[in-house]
Amino acid sequence: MNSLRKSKWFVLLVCLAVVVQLTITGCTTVPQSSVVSWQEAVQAARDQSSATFEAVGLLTRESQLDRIERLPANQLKQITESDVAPSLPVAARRQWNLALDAMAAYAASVEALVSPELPQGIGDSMQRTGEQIGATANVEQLKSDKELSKAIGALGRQIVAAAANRKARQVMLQVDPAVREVTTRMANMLYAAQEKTDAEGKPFVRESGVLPMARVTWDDRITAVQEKFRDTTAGAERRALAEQYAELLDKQAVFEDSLMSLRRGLIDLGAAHTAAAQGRSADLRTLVAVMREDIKLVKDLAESLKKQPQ
Amino acid sequence: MNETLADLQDKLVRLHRKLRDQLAETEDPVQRKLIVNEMFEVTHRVQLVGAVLFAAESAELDDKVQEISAATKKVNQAIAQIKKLKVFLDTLADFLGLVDEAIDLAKGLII
Repeated sequence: MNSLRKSKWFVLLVCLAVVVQLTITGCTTVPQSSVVSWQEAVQAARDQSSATFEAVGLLTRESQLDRIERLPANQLKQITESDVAPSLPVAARRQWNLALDAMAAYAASVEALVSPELPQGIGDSMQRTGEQIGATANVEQLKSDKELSKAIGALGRQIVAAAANRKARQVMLQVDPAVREVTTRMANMLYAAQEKTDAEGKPFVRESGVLPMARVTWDDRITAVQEKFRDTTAGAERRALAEQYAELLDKQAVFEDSLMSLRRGLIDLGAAHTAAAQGRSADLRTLVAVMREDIKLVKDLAESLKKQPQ
Repeated sequence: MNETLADLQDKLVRLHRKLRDQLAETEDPVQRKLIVNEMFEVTHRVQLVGAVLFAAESAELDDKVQEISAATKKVNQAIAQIKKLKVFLDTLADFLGLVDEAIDLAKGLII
């Protein structure tokens, strides 16, 4: 019996040492709330990009049809795939979604690892095992009406929680450069501005991505209405065209704002991942709320593009 | 970033802007129509280059996405290890329960 008691205290001391060691080496923990809000932001980015890309598709398709209508038959003798090709190729969009899906799956796993349920389960099992040992070996302190088994359970819970969090942090720090690169690249696919100098040494800002493409497409639509306005003399018709013109300007602004907000969201996702991996709090709830608002605006815009080709 | 495609897209966008500026200074309706048609042609090229650029950039995502998927696997392995420990502890407790029952039975038989 004595040797059993001694080994029991030895186990407890070892457990205590492990907890102390984990506490000292792993002071910085991954905040679970940060992981949860990161996962929500990834999902919001996926939803927002789907809605935005649908609007881009509708916008460019209408522009392609307008171009075909404008071109004299002798200049466009036969129609080819490139005349009506999607402005954002299907395979590329799939790749984009796969990237966001991979980040969502990763976030869900990290959230499961740092959630309190896992250590709680271990704690309960350890307490139950302790009580069972108490009953089997007739160790008074371990019996279910005593505190020791509960203490062992609590200790087990803490050890597992600390170890799980440490593992989560280790993986997050390791994968952080990849997450940053993916989110930055995706943001730059939407819009990138780079300072450059031309052949004469004059500085200029080079713009590229989905935004400049959408901007010129909107500009064409707006120009077409302006041209109609020039050719119209009747007041009522001019008023209708002026309304159409103002509406198009509004839609262009909404669209560009939403695209830039998605871009900011992706950059914030990268920064928030680094913060969470370093144990700093990164609450993205405001960002998610803004993204959800933008999704609604872009969906409305896409609906209007479906209904009223202008 | 694919520099060549990004440069080309930017040049086309600048050309489109120039045409728009030119349109603002043109009064002749025939000329205006030609300029507008030209704007549509340039826009079509901006869209084509934009599509190729988007596809090229998305292909570059693949390697890093695989790193993220590998990280997910590591995290899932850690979860599985913890769950395995729980299964072990539960099995041990159940086993000890059975031992208790056997002891009780043996005690009963002895008495």
